[in-house]
Amino acid sequence: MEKYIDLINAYLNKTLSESEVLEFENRLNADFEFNTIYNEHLIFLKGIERIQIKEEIREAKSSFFRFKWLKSVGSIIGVLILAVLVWSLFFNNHIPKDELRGVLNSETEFVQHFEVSSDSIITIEGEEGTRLTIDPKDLEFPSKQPLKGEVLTIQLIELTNKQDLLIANTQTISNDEWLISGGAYKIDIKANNQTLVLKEGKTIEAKFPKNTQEENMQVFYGDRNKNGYLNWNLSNVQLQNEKHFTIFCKDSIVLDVEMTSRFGGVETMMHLLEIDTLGFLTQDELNSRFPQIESFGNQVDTVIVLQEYIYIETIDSFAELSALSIDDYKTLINQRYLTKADSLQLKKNYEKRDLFYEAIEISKLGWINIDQYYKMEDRITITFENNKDVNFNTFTEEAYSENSKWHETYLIDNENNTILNVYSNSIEIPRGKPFTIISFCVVEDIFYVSRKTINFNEGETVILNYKKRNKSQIKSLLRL
Amino acid sequence: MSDEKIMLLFKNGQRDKAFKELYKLYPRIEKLILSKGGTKTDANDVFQEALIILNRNLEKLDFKLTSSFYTYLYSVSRFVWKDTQKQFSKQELHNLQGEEVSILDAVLEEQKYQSAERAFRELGERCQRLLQRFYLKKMSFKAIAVAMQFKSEKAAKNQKYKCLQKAKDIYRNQFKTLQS
Repeated sequence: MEKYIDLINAYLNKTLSESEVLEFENRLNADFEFNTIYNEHLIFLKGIERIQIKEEIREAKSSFFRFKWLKSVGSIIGVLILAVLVWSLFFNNHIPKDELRGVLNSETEFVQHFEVSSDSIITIEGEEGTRLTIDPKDLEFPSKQPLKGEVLTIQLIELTNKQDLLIANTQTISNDEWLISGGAYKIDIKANNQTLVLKEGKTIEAKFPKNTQEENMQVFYGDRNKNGYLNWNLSNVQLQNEKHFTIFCKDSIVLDVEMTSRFGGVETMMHLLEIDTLGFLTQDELNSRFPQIESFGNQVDTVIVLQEYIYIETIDSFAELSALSIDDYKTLINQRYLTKADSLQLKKNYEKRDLFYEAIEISKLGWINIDQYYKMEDRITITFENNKDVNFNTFTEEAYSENSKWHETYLIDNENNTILNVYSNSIEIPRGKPFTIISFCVVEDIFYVSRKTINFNEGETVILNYKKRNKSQIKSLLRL
Repeated sequence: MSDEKIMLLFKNGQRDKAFKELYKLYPRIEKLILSKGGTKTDANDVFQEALIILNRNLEKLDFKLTSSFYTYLYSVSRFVWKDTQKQFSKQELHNLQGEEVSILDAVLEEQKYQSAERAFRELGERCQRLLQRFYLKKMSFKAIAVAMQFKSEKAAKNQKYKCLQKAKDIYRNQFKTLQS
């Protein structure tokens, strides 16, 4: 029997020779006993094989239930996260009074950090183009101690549009006089975690980008009071548009018709190049002096005015000159010299360079604003009321401790870069001008918001209907 | 995973991975067994048998899967369950057609292998390990002798034969008992 089993195993394992296989199969057909042993052995092997298959199925089952379990846990976690998100989005309107001013002032989001050595004069450039040149020798600690080679951290904020001014809670007011801002900036310089100051009589050089077409802008220094409201004070620094040293180039081609006819119809061209220096000019001066020139090139600090001409010079045939209209003449110039791409490139370069004010000397670090006074000739008075009985008289420091309810309200001029914090129950505004009012308040730690647009020709009462909101919605509520 | 890809896994000898994919069909089979009055344990056992029968048939050269894996496993599970419950009436058996006949054949054939498995499991642990090493792991007697501390290769071979004979004796006795 044992030898049969060995033979069957050899047959099943395919280790028999061709003739042995043939012999095996013949015997399987002819020998009933052998056939029975073979079939019984096969059944038994398949029985053993079931153990292995079952093991694999068991593993598949474990894997399936493990996955199912993980899926269930994942789903539960997902639902929990969703619930938390929904809660935080729609129901998380709890915010303590102390936090309101903090969450509304996102000035830190605009801070750019520069780490520099204090052993030489430093020049830094902000993302919006502000260029500061600082001599570390002109800085000192508040205790009047001089610097001793510390690493300086320059923190620069550049707020160049109304939206940024609003998000950073940077109102534009100078001792009750409204301002129109051309950009607010904050410069802080720190060493060893202390804010440095400029030594008496020392300054830093600052060159600010020109963000507005308004002229006669002035420089203001600003400070926040304890309630976070900014106030700007006019400085004696004069602000002027930047001038560039300008070179004039006249590039001419003369088509001499007389010469053409003289030499049997062959055109003769003469190339003339005329160069002159024009001294320092502002953009406005350049525009008025060269109204027909579409673009100006620049190299480093110098503006190149390139005037290109094709002259059709005729001596004995006046008809040749009149054959070209002015438009044809301009087209001819553009085709030959100013491809569209070149023209745009030159213009772009020029605009980027020109939109600056002349560098100024700043004697105080901190908030700086480029402003002009708001011309408000015809005024009306509006009064605020609200459905939560919040007192709007909140300017004084004492008001904060005296009021359990607190508000932060912004009045935004829809036509100018003017933003005001409202801290009284009534305020004067220009007649017939559109404004947006965005007001936040906290009553018993619940966060409320009211937003509306007004345009009044007569004094009126503005009723603010506060509604519960989630503090995560603040940014979208401040979107202009 | 598509049926084609699962079939490819079987063909490439990756049966374990194929089972993992097919186990995703289990909830629907469980539903079937529960609806027939079975328990979750019954459903597990039935599905396991269905997978074994499927695998057995896929190894046959003349077998061709003409439906989806789900349909096939569903039919096999239904037959396994009915057979377990001895619910087939003579009329039902008489009315079986086409694939149903071959499924019932496969279910009945598998019962012989189940008996062989049971016989194997009645062996002592050492015998089981020895036979598994030889038939499933395809180890040589030399390696088995070393692993199981037999005196010699021959001693291992002798022991394997004795174990096999013992299992077959158990199997035959079971068969006789069933017949009587």
